Amino acid sequence: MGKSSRLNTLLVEILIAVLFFALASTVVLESFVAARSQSRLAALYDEAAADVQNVADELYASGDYDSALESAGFAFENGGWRLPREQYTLLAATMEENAGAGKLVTAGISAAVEGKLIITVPVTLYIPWEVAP
Amino acid sequence: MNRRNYHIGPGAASLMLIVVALSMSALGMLALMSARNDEQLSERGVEVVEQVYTLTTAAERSLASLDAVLAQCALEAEDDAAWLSLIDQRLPVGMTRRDREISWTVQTTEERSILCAVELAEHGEVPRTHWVRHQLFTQLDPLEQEDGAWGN
Repeated sequence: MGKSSRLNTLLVEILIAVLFFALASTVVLESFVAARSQSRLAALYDEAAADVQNVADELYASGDYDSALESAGFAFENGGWRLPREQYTLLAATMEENAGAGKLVTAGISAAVEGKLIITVPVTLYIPWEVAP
Repeated sequence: MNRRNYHIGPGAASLMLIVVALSMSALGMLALMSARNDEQLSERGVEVVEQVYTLTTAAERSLASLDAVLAQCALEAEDDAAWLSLIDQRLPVGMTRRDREISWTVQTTEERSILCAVELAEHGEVPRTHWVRHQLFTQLDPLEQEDGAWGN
């Protein structure tokens, strides 16, 4: 094999290698992007779950759901409470029901991303009539 | 002194490409697997939070049904002994009284349950009960359940 022929073979091989490398890196990059998107989603779930728990515990502590939601920053819109966060929106709805010797005050607290609920937590507190405000 | 000339020949580029492509694929796969596991763990965390609050809600509802019984018994009984006696007759299913403590277990899923206990106040006092136990139990391992061992 002559020197010129070897050089040509080498150049063609390098060209093929570069093309294949570009193709492979595109595929691998896609998997990195997917991994990043999944990690962000996982972080979002964690953050939303912690946020919803905080609100739920505030409600348990206060006993007066409406004022607790208001002081947490929720705004009452279209029959429900709403608090927009950076990546998701916290939603809450409250109701009271008669429970014999007292009342059950219930709230449903949810976190939603683009209309899809990712977590919903019920918060119920029993208050006997004798101690109800 | 012998000196050898090294130069890139045909095949070297392919070899390097194979090494680089394999390394990149391995890294990409590891990143994807790690992210998927993170997401599954987060979803599991969300499920656990929902289950715990659902259990707590169920515990409050059972307290409401117990308090309804206690209030009715308090109206009918004249003293503490009569009150306790009436409570024993009308205690909701699954609840047991021991001295002035009434306990029961709330379970909404196979994995988790809450052991609840309230202490009764004296006859005529309000509120009639106060919580003394509200303990979450988690089944750690199916094998442990067979042995009757529970963790929390």
